[in-house]
Amino acid sequence: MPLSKLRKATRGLSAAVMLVSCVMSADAAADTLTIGTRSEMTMDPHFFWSTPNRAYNVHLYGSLVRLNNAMRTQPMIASKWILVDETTWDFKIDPAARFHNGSKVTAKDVEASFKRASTLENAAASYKGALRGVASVTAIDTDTVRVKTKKANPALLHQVAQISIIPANIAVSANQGDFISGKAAIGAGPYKFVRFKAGDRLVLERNEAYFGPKAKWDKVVFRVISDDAARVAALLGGDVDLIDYVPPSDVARLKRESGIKVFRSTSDRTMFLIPDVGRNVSPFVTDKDGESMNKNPLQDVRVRKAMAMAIDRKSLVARIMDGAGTPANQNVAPDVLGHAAALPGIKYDVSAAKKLLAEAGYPNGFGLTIHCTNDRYVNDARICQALGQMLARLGLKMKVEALPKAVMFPRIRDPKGDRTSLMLLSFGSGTSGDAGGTLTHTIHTFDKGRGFGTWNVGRYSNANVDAVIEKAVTTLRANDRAKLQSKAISLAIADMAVIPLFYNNVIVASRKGLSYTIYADQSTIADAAVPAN
Amino acid sequence: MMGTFLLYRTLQAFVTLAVVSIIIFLGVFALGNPVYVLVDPSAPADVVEQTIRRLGLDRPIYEQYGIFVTNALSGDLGTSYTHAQPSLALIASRFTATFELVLASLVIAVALGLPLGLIAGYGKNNWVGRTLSSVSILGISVPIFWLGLLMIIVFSLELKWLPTGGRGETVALFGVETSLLTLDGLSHLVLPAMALSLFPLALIIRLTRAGVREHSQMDYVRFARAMGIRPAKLLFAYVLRNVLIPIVTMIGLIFGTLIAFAVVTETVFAWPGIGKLLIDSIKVSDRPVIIAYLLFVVVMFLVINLIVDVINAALDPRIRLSGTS
Amino acid sequence: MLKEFTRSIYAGVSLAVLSSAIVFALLAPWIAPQDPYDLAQLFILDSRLPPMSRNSDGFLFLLGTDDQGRDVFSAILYGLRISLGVAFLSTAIAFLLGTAIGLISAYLGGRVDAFLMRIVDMQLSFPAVLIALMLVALVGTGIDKVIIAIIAVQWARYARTVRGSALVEREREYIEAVECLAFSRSRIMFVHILPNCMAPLSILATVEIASAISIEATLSFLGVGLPITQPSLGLLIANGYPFMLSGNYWLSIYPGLVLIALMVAVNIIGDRMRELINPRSEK
Repeated sequence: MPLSKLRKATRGLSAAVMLVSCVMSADAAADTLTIGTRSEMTMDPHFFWSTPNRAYNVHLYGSLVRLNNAMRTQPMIASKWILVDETTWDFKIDPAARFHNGSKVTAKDVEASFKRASTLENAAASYKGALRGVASVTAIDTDTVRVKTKKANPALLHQVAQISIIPANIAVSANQGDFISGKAAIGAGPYKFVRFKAGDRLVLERNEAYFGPKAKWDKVVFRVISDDAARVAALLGGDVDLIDYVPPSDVARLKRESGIKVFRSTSDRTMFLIPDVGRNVSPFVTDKDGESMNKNPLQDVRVRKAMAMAIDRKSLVARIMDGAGTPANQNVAPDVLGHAAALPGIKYDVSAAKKLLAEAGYPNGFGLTIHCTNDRYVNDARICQALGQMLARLGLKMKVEALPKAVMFPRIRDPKGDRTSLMLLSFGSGTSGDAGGTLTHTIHTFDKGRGFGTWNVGRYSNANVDAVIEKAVTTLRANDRAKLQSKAISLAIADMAVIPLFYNNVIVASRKGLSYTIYADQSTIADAAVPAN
Repeated sequence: MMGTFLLYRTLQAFVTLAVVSIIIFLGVFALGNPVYVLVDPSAPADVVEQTIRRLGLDRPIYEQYGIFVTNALSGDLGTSYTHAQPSLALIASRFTATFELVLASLVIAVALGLPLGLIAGYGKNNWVGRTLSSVSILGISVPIFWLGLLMIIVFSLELKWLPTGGRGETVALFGVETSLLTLDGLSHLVLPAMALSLFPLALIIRLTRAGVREHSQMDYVRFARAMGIRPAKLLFAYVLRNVLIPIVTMIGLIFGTLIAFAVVTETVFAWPGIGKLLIDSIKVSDRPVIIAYLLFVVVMFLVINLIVDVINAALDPRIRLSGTS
Repeated sequence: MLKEFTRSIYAGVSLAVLSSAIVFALLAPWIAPQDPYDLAQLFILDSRLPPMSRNSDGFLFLLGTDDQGRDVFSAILYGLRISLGVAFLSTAIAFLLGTAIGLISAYLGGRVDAFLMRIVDMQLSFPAVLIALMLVALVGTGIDKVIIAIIAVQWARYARTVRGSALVEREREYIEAVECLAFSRSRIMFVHILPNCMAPLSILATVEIASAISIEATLSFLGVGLPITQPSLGLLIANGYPFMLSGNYWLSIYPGLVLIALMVAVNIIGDRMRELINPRSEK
C-alpha cells in the first residue's frame, strides 16, 4: 500500500499537527464506556417503539421484566409474577425499586406508564403495537399490577418488557422536550441521564441507588455513528470502545488488528424469500421474452422447490455474509422456541432443480423480478443480487430491484400497494419470544381484521397451518406451544410458503480488554460489556 | 428604493414558500404511508390502522395539506415521527453544526481559492495556473463519501493526526453551541470541512483564474499598466473587484450547494447536522422533518440570494436591483 | 483548429484520454472479457478476487473482481458508457435549460426575472437525493431517473450564474448600441450577450460534469441511483465503499482512478477550448 510511503514522507509534519489534535477523547477515562452505535435514540421512552430505542430505555427507565441476551424474561421492577387465571397476570413490584429521584416505584406509576405508552399522541410507531391482546393494566394495590389479556397470551412477559416505567406524575405532565432536556428523564433503571445531544450522543452515569445489581460503568457514552464504515473507523481509530452492527465484511480486518476483539453470536432473525402464491397473475412475472403471462408459475410448489434447491446457501453465507450466518431450512432460527429441529436441510442441486422446473412445465424458465430493500438488513441488496445470479443459472430471466425501505415497505404493506412477486424479508422473534411472531405475521393467511398475516406479502394461505398457528398463540405451556409451532413450520416449509435462506448473526467489536455478551435481538447494552480477564 | 425592493422580495418569498410546500407535499405523498415504514414489524394491523387514522394519514391529500397549512401558520410544522420533537425545533437545534461545517469549508475555499486563483491567472507562468486548476479537479471528480473515507483512513487511521468523526467539544456562545472555540472541536471539524471544501475550492480557483486572465487583457488594465500602477495594486484594487462579481454570485450559490452536499459529508463523518438529519428522515419517511427541512432551506436560499443581489449591486453600480421598476 | 488545440501538450494528452475513453466505452461489448450485466455469467465464488487472479476456469481477472464476482475491468469498460452518457447528457441539458432561463431572466428583468429566480431558489433547495427518491417511488429506478435528478439540481446553478453575468453585460454600451439597431431580443440575448457570459458558464459546466458523476455515485451510495446490476463507474465506487477498510481496495480504486483521469481531461479540454474561443481571452 502507498500509505506507508505517505506516512514516512509526512512524519515530520505529524509532530506539529499532533499538538493541535492532542485533546481527542476527553471521555476516555478508565471506567467510561464509549459505544459507537448505529441508531439514533428517541428520548421520550413512550414515543417510538423500536428495538434500539428499547435498548436505550432499559438503561434509563427499566421495565416490569427485562429480556436477557437469549431473549428470556428476567425480573426487573417486578420481582415476581403470578398467573391468576389464563388471562390474568399479577405483577409484584420489587419493594426496593426506586426512581432516580428517590421515590418508590408503585403500581400507580406502572399503570400510568402503560397508559401513556399506549395513548401518546403523534406517536407514529406507538408502543401500543407491543401490547397486542392486552385488555387492561391496572394497579390493584400499591405494589401489585394486574394485567388482563383478551385470550390466554404466552407472549405477555415479552410484551410488558417493552414498556418503560416512569413516575406517574411525569407520565401525566411531561412533554417530549422534557425528556430531551433531561428534566423528565427519571426512571428506575441502572443508569441516570447526564446529557443528550441530538444526533450526536447520549451520556449516562451509574445510578448508585439502583435496587438491582450495580451498573458496570461509571459513565456510558452512546455516540451515534450511523455509517457502517465510519463506525468501524471510529473503533480502529480508538475514538470509541465498542461498536454495534459490525459489517461482516470488516470482521476479517478487525480480527487481524491486535488491539481489537470481535464478538459474534446467533441472532433471532432469519432471512427468507417470499414468493407470490396468492395471485393468479403476478405483476413481476413474465415469460422468457419479457411478455406478461396469463398464469403465475410461483403458484406451483414444484417451481418454488426448484428455486429453493437452486440457491447455494453455503456460498451465499460464505461470500456475501462473510460467514456471518448459517444456512437455513426454515424461517425460524434454531435458538428460538418452536424451531422445527427435525426438518431436513434443503439440498443445493441445480440439475435436480432444473428437472423439477421442467416437470412443472417451465423447461425454459420464465422472467422474474426479485425485490429487496437496500437499507434495512445487513447486505440486503448484495444478497438479492447474488440470489439473482443463482436463480439465473436455474434458467430464470432475473431482474433485481433494490429499493429504500421508505419506498419498499409502503408498497408491500399498503393494502392498495401492488406488492412484489418475489421479495427478500427477515424476521425475528420480536415480542412473541418464540416462533409465534414469525408464524402469525408471515405464514398465517392475511386477515386484516384479526391482525394475522400482516407481512404475508405472498398471500400464502393454508387452513391447516392457520389452525395450528392460532392454537399455538393461546397455548400457555411452552412445550406444547413449541410442538405446535414446529408442526406449523414443517407444514409451511413442505409447501415452500417461504424459501428459507440463512439464520443471521449479530456482530459486535470492541477494543482489547473488553468482553461482550451478544443480545440475540441486536440490542446494544452497556452492561453486556465488562473488562475481560 | 431599497425599502420597496425588500418588501417586494418578502412578498415573493411567501409565494415561493407556498409553492414549495405544495410540491414537497405531493412528493412525500408519493412515497407512500410513512407509518408502514416506521412501525415495528410485529405491530398488529389494527394498531397500525388506528395510528394512521390518528395521524390523519388516511385523509385525502388536500385535507392533509389544509391541516398542515393551518398548523404551519401558527408556527407548528409537525412533530418528528422518530425524534419526538417539533420538526422545526429539531432542525434549528442541528443547524448550528451544519452552519459551522459549511462556514468552515467556505472559509477554506475562499482563503485558499482566491489567492491561488490570482496566482494561477496572473502573469505569464501559464503552467502554474494550468497545474493548479487541474489539481483542483482531482478532489471533485470522485464522490465525496469515498474521498471522505479515504481521508479518514489516511489522516485518522494511518497518520493518527485527527479524530475519525463526530463533533467535538462545544461551548455556548451567546446561547449557540459552537465547536469553533475549542481545540477538540476544531480538530473534529478539520476533516469534514476539508472534504466539503473541495468542490467550492475547485470552482473558486478556476473562476478567479479565468476572471483575472480575462480582465488583464482589457483596456482599463492595459491603460493602468501603462500609467505605471504597481502590478499588485492593479491586481487587488482593480482586477479583483471586477473578478469578484461572478464569484460572489457563485459563493451565494455554493453556500446553498454545500448545505445539500453536507448530506453525505455529515453521514461519513458522523457530523450531527441537518444533512444527516435529512438522510435519516428520508430513510424512515419522517415526513414532518423532510417538509420542515425543505421549507427551512428555501427560506435560507431566499435570504442568501437576496444578499447576493444586494452585494452585486454594491460592487457594480450598473446593476439595478430588479423588481423595483 | 485541432493543431492549434494540441499546441498545448496538456490539452493534447487530455484529448487523447477522453477520446480513448469514448472509444472504449463504445466498443465495450466487443472488448470486455465478460458481460458484467449478465447475472448468469457471475459467480459469487469468484467474488473479491485481487487483481491478476484467475478463477477455476482459468479466466483472468485483470483488475480483480467485485463482491458479486464481476470482472472489475469489464465493469469499468461498461461503466464508462453509463457514466459518460449520464455526465454529458445531464450536463448538456442542464446547461441549455439553465442558460436560456438565466438569459431570459436577466434580459427581460422585472416580473419575469423575479418569477424565474424564485423558481431557481426553490430548485436549489431540493437536494438531489430527495428528487431521486421521489422519482424512484413514483416510477422506479433507472438511468433516465438519475439523469432527470441531476438536471433538476444543476440547471438552476447555470441559470443563477448566467443571470449574474448577463445583468452586467446588459448595461454595457455595446448592448445599447445593438438595441438601437433594433435587433430582435432573442438575437441580442443569444448572439450578443451570451458569448460574453461564457467564461464563468463554461467553468461551471466543466466542474459540473465532474459533479454530475459524483451526484450519480452519491445517489447510488444512498440507494436511489442506478439499478445495482448495471454498475456505472460511480456505482462501482459506491459498491466498493464498504470494502475499503477491509483492504479490498481494487473494488473502488480502479474505477476511481479512471474517473479522476477522465474528469481532469475534460476540464483541461474545457480550459483549452475557452482559451481558443473566448473573444477576450489571450491566445
